Amino acid sequence: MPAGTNNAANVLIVGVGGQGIIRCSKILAEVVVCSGLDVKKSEIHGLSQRGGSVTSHVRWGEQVFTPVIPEGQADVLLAMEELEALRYAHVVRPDGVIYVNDFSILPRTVISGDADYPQDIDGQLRQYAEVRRIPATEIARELGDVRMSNVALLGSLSQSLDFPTDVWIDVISESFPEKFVEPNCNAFRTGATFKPAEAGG
Amino acid sequence: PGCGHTAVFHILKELKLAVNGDIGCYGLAALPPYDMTDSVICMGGGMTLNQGFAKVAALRENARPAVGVVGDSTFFHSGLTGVANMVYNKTPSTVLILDNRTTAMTGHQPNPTSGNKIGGEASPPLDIGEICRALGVKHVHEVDATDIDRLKEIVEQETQRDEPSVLVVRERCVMVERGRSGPVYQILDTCKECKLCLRLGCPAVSIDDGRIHIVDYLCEGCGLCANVCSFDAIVPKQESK
Repeated sequence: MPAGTNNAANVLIVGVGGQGIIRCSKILAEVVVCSGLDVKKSEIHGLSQRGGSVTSHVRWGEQVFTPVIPEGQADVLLAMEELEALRYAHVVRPDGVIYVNDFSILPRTVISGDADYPQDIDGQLRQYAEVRRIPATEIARELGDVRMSNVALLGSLSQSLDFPTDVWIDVISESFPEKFVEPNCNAFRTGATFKPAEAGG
Repeated sequence: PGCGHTAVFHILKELKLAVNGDIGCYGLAALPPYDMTDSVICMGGGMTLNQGFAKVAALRENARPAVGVVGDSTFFHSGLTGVANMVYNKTPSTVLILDNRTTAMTGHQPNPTSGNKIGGEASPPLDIGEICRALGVKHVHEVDATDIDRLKEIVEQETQRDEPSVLVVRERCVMVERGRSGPVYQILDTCKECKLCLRLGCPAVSIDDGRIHIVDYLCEGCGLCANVCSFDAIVPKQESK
């Protein structure tokens, strides 16, 4: 992972309320804590939690002073949804990486015919940074529950970070009720071994 | 839909009422597809502003009826004074108190209707309807937000009345009290694609390549979509599990 400003690593996690963005950021932050680093996070919750645009900033390093990632300084953008990736693409640094779930959720105004969903999202994202498209929702569906999309995508993110797999698995195991632990660990491992095709650019 | 109180705004829109809203989550009804909030000032502002609307409407023929909308939490914050004012000044205003037993807009803090304090300790839930009666409102109705026909009938009746009236509209917040209220619904092939159900703003009703469908895992089982469908094309799904 490239070091961000002030040597802090910056990951911005975004998606549509209900997709598990906050859970993702909690797991990531916990993994960082277990690795003995300072971590700060800041998120949108409350009214956005069903269907709204949700973001969670996670920053870590030797010492982090503020939880909000400045524009253009995120090392990684982890997007659970395509349009949300586009909405926050400007936060990624030019040599950063955008992980985008191969999944779109139509906003109400698109469904009602009052607006259009953006076209060629990959093309637009590539103007900001490298794009890695991950079929996280498909992975989760094949493993039996689409609600694990977030953990599958987190698995992909782990490819870019230096934290040991054991730590990830330990934290995930503590994050879910007993019966969801094994499926989520599987989702994580599948995401962690998925090789994204070069999205070009 | 995700939010059971959505039905209220569906009805207010059908009845073409003016809506004096407030800053709770029901203020989001100002956004598409409802566009059903005409004013938002502050907590308790909708129901008090509506008293001005009611006074002006009383002076004009064919005035568009208006309602004030407030949530349960806001009601306890700054709504009781508005009800007292409405009764004291004999204002023929109609107030809808949307009671979801939580403070949803700011992150689900408990409030006097919730039945517990913020630390989880049990606490007596206050009865909004009884409080309004005690304040002197003669026409107080308690209605379930999912009982669409009755809700519509009472809103129509009370907005015509020349005395103060209150509707306490009750439905859980699906983000706090989890679990479906009924079966998952599905759309049959007899769908005429009129798209009326899409205008409900329900997160579960979606469209893919022109085909309208209900997303299983988002459906709360409230049946509002089935209620608005003119072609009986939305029915409960037979649960296989």
